Amino acid sequence: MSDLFEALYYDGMQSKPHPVYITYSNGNVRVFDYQNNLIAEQKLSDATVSETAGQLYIYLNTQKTSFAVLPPAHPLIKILQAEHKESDSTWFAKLMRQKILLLASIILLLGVGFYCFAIFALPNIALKLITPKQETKIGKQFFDLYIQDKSEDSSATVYLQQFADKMHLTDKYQLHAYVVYDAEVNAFALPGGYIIVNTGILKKMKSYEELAALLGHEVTHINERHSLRSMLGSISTSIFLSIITGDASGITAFLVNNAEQLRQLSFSRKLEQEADDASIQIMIKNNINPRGMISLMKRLQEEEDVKVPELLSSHPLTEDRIANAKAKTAGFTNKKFESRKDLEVAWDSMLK
Amino acid sequence: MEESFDPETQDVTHEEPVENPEKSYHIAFTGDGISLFKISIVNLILTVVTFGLYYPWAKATSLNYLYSKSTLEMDPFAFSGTGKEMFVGFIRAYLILIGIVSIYIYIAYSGYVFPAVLFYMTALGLIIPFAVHGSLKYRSAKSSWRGIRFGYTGNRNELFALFLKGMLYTIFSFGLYGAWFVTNLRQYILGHLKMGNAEFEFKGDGTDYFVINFKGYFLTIFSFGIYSFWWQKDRFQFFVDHIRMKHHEDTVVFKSNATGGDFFGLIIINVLILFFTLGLGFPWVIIRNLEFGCRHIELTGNINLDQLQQEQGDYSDATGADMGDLLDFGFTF
Repeated sequence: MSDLFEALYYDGMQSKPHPVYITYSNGNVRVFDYQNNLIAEQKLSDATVSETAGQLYIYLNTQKTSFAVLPPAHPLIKILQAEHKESDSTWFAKLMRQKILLLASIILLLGVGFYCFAIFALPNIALKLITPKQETKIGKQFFDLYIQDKSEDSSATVYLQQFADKMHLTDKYQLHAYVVYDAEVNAFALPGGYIIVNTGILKKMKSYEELAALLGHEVTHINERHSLRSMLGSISTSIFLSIITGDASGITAFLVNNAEQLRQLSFSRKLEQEADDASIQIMIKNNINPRGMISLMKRLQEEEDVKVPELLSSHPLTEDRIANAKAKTAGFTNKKFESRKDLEVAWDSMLK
Repeated sequence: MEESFDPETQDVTHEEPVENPEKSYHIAFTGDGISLFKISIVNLILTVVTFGLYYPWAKATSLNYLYSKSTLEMDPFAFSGTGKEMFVGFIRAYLILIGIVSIYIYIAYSGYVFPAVLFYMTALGLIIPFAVHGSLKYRSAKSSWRGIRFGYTGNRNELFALFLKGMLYTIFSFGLYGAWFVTNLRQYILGHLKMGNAEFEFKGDGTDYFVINFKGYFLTIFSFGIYSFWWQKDRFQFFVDHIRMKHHEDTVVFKSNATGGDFFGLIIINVLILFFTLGLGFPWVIIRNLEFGCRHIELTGNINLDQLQQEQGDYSDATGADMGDLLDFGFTF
């Protein structure tokens, strides 16, 4: 027979405690009344043990209505606490035994890991899962939201579309090109084949080669799915942030608000250069003087001198892009390109 | 006369009526920031590596801790809800919310933004009373003291009607009815809250609460915010001072002794803690708030707390409680 210890017992029927004897042996806690009748029994590993103000509470059922209390400094407290701790093999208990400094380092490491995952890996995985058809659907939804509070220059749109069609810019997507009234010198692409060109940038351009360079640039963002990638990155980041801050409205806000956010997404310098380079190739294939890229850049640079427009703020420094365009078109400096009459007609009509 | 001990059949009303002496009851909160901080860190780690699935278990462990450190007459409260129960509730609540948000997005993307918002607001408005009801039932059934469970005996449809009326009146009175709405709600909820066979009641009057808020609102503006601490004190006092606990003929009266200065100290230091620890000091703020609440509520009366009987059943559906969590509205007993 193991030692009997005096304790108080609550039976889950009334709030008045009963004075009892308690024993602990072979991992079992047993409660006896003063007549030595067994009134409760539980394996220590199945009980919940917690300490409050020096007293040890041993909850014997899961509802915590039946429990024994050991007064402060009771000889059994240390033994029960130690053995219960050992029997608790949950991850929570295991981690609770570690030092705070170690736990803080784990948190930091996890934070960095998840950040990298959310920013780099997750968008790439999603990119592979989304088909071009779904992408077009997504793009259309953003376009519809965007165009809601814009007004379209519908005659210019017709000619821009003709211009784009004649260049055979893409095999993967059906291209939809739009001109909208907006003085800002800007143009952008939405996933799945949508290109939006502001009247502001059209007025700045002096030749159809510049427009060809612009369309070649934007269509590369579409063909290479830069827009989708950037959008996924942005959604992924906002999900990550909303998990961290525990604010689920961030995700909904992003999805619901409007396409404005998408328009403001920035591409990395690498992607911008990729689009410039691909645009030059498209122009060569179309028998258009690729040096149109250089003059387009110069137009943007003129604008940059006045203010920093959004198109540029996220793009590589225009100086660098001009240098790059010059290098990539160096072989064509003296080459004669026949004028593309069809494009010229569309271009002239657009400006009327 | 010696009776054999059998609490099921033991009926307190058959006992000799004894006039219990008036006494004051000791309530305290003895938790410490560092323990809660550690619990929060471990919970955070487990929540992150399980992509959030651990959240219900995290909730259970922190509630366990906070309950076990809250004492009445030196004995702690106990929370017996489990992560598993809350996980099931969490999934259900999440599915319901995802359903609502999906419909909302679908309508919004079809171009009907206003109907979408209307649908969203209505759906949430309808869900809240159900969530509050479920939450009260679950939380109270899982809360106990000396093995005696709390219980919420309110009726879901009654609460729903109360909410509907309150929300409509509040909207049509441009918020003025809010004071009566909150008071009626509190009256209903506390009026259906029990601790074993002891009952709670709330005797506050909406007009008083309206006056407190009216006065508080304007004095806060005129004093450039300084009065807000006294406004806070008045509101706390209004909620605390009107609570009674009844057990047969006996009563316990709740009374706040917090002053505006006390609230000033509590809130300013909380803000400083959060600011200088970049939010990491959050556990200390929770501890300080609970400790403040216990220190500034006085309980006096003649209920013999040894005579409480188990009367409330168990209730393990946590959907409402989790819905409340997801929608992020807090309420306290």
